[in-house]
Amino acid sequence: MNVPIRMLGIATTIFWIVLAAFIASAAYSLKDLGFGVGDPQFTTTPDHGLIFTLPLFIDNRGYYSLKSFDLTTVFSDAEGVEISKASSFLPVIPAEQNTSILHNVTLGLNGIAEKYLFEDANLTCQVTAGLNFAEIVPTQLSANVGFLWGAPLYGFKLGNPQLSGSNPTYLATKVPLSFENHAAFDIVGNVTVRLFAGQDTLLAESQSTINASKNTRYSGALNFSVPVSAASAGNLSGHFEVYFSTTMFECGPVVIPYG
Amino acid sequence: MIYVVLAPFLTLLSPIVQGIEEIVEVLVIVNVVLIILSDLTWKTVYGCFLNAGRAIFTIAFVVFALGDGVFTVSPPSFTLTVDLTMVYGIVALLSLLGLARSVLQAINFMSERAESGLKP
Repeated sequence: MNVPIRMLGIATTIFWIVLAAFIASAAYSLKDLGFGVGDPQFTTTPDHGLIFTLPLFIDNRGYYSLKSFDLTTVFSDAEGVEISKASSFLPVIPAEQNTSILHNVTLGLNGIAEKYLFEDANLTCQVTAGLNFAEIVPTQLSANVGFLWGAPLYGFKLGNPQLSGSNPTYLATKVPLSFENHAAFDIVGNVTVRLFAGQDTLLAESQSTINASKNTRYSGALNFSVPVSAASAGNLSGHFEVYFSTTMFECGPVVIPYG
Repeated sequence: MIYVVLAPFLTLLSPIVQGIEEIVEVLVIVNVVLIILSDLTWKTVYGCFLNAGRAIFTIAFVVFALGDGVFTVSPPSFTLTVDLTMVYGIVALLSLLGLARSVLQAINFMSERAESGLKP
């Protein structure tokens, strides 16, 4: 019986040494692990969605591959309402290699509340990253990151209709338009404005192209041809119905009173 | 000796697993004391008991002191969770192997004594 006992002792010792070596090398690998985040990029989808792409760089110079890397981001507004959720999964990040991941978050601007097109907001991004370190140590990191959402049509304003010319049947009317593009992307599209007198009398309709680079102020004007008969009736107040059609989103009608 | 080798790496782990250095120190001190005592009582049944005690202590230490093996660190900006259950499972299994060895040693010791007509 002495031999089996001795063999059992030797086997136990070897296993302990292997375990100790594993812990030492795994801990040593930690210091050779690097993460980096690139500059975010914005692109659009054909259905007016905004894709926010975040490049991630993982430099795994350790001895062990990282498995089941899973990154999840949940964007929510100040009230906690979920706006967008996205996940990126990478089965294996091999040892001694640099790996990059593009984490794509689709923000459907058509689906989110209209107010975010006109008002800046503090949004929260809940980031959860999980991976299996050294094959047998599941690790998870979670963080809440707050960031300022810049409204693409911040401070959108239509001025009062101003007479700019006339002929026997129509009055040429100009309506100034302005807004600030606080968003991280450019806006290119059309704005259509319907001019109503009183409650529901359509006087005229006008369309204009808008092209506002990010973080710039846009000013323009819309030209209407208002029938003389309607204008002479003394309708000096009413409302505009505004429709936006851009590469990023479609929105409308937005009702703005005048007069 | 293993502890001396591992000590610098435990320092690396200490920001993730708070108090791991103290936990491992207690484990190592008790183990070293039990090893010395079992060496001193070698070729007696007490040596086998001390070896078994060492294995049982390690298992109990892993189960009670380290809990479920899931450590969570929450600095102000993020939360890091490390699940060391698998590592603790391996430690517990190796300790069970050591316990089995000690039990076999004790049985062998007693049977040898019985065969030779000596009292343990």
